[in-house]
Amino acid sequence: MTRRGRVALKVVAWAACLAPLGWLGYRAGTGDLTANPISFITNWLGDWTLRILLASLAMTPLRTLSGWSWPIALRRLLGLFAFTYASLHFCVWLVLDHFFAWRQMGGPTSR
Amino acid sequence: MLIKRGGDIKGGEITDQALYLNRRAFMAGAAALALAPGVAAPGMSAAAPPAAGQPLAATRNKAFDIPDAATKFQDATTYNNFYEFGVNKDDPSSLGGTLKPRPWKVQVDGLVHKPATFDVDDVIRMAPLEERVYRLRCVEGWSMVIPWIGFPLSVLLKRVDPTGSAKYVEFSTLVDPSQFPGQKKGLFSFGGLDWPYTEGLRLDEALHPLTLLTVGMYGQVLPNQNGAPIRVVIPWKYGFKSAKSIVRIRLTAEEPKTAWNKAAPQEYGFYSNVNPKVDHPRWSQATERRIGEFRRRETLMWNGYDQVAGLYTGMDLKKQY
Repeated sequence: MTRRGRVALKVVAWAACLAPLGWLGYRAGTGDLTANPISFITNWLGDWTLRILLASLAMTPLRTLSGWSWPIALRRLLGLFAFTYASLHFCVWLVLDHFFAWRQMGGPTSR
Repeated sequence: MLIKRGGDIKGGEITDQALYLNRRAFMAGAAALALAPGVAAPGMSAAAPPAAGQPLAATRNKAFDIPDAATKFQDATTYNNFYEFGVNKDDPSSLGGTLKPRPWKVQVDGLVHKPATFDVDDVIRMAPLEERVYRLRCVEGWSMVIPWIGFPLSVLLKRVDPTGSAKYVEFSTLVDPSQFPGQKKGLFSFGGLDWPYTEGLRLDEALHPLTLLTVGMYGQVLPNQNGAPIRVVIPWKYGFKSAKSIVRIRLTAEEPKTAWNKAAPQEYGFYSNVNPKVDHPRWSQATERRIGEFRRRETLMWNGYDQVAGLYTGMDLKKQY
């Protein structure tokens, strides 16, 4: 793959990974986050964490099966975006949803 | 904190307790009628069947007033769990148009002396319609405050005269994939619930004056997404216990198999009373987010309806969740 091709690929991947955040921001701006906005944002970020994580994990098998080399160029980028979404998801849950009330959060899972 | 009432009633004396509560319901209904003689007239004289969104006359029963502000109508009608339409919160409001709430029959049978199939418009005229403002606590950890319109379920149950062996009441929701898109079988359809959606109560719970047979909310005929044309509301239990779009009410001797209990017995018990001290296996029930508020608030035992505590005297609420 040419250098220009690789840059174009990464630009597209960045745009695709940032689009869910942009869409979330747009819905927030238009007051379209349902009657329970905190829950909606948490679920939105969690869903996209899983989608991007699955995409990043699919890159190596895709290369193995197809013989293409370009999936490897996206692997780290997608993995880091998955981590970013997971961090945002966790922060929203911790700060907006429960406001650091550790006992509430740990209670049910500590059994 | 708990105000225990009727603490001398043992758990085993279910029938006696039911009769006791039933009489209270009858007296409360009679008192309401005496205080507001004009109530019956609007319901009785309704010529055309009311459609969703039409105003529905009812007299506010101030005995159930709470200091909490009512949830916005917009929120209460667009943020719903009603899996017959779909698993997303906005599915019931966006897809609810396919449900046809008239004509509608409700079959009431099982262990009763006078089984009957009622037209829903005849059910609505059985008793004066009351408006009651109830808290609604969803098992998912959010809550609303809703002014419902209806009358105690005990009125209908007395009409069919349960036999002495009736111990439970089972509610079934309509099954019709042409009206409920969530019931269609497909490649990506949700496979977690068996249709019909069934729910149930112990007979004494069903006869409790708080248990409301509901046909409206916010001064209107019940919208499709909120369980038109007829549902129950049991305010001290998690919301999924309050069955919607009911076509059958059956009295049984055995505890009914309920939809969520069949799908996930470790997570959703038959009783499912609101209890901040008994957590869901996957999250705490100690707090809730009231829709429209930012901070979580403490969840109240029995959702604040302490008058039901006597129904559960002697029960281990951690085991019979």
